[in-house]
Amino acid sequence: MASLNEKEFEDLFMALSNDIYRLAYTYVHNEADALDIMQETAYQAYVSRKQLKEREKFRSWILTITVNKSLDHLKKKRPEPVEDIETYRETASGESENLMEFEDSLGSLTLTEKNIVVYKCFFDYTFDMIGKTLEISSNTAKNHYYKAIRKLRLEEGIL
Amino acid sequence: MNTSVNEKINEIRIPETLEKRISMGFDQGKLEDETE
Repeated sequence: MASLNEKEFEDLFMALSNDIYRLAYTYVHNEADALDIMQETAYQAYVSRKQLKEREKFRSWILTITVNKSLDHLKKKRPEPVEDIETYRETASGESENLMEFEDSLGSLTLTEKNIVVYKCFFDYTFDMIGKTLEISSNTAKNHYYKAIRKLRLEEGIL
Repeated sequence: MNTSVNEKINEIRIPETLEKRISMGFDQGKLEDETE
């Protein structure tokens, strides 16, 4: 199949732009960072658009780029590579802007829980598919997901 | 799928500058294409 031409690519991207933005926002929970990720995603997708061979896979392809850009952004924001907010709190010293921003992102969800919520809500993945993607069992994925849902319900309005 | 979580995601406000930032990203990509 021929790769997307420039117009087709831009039209498909724009049609999904709200989903892409909301996905980025789910990770960083602030407008400025979500817009940075949006711009980086548009750039990355544009330069690698010829690698996409099946246009029906455009949505999952573009959302995967967005997830990767969001995770890169979170890594850059953190002073040390840590797994979750509790570890982050322990390693952060004093008050810092990064800490405040990170604490503000999706309340107390760990990165694993955020990933699972994103794969369920944006990609419509089953727990089996999430398990394979994140290299955990489907039961572990399910447990993380329902734990995340309980946290989000407790922190109403966090998303 | 959890409906309440999806509803909350859909409540995230879309900023007015969204299209402009997308265009900036495309322009960066086009610039790179031209310089290759």
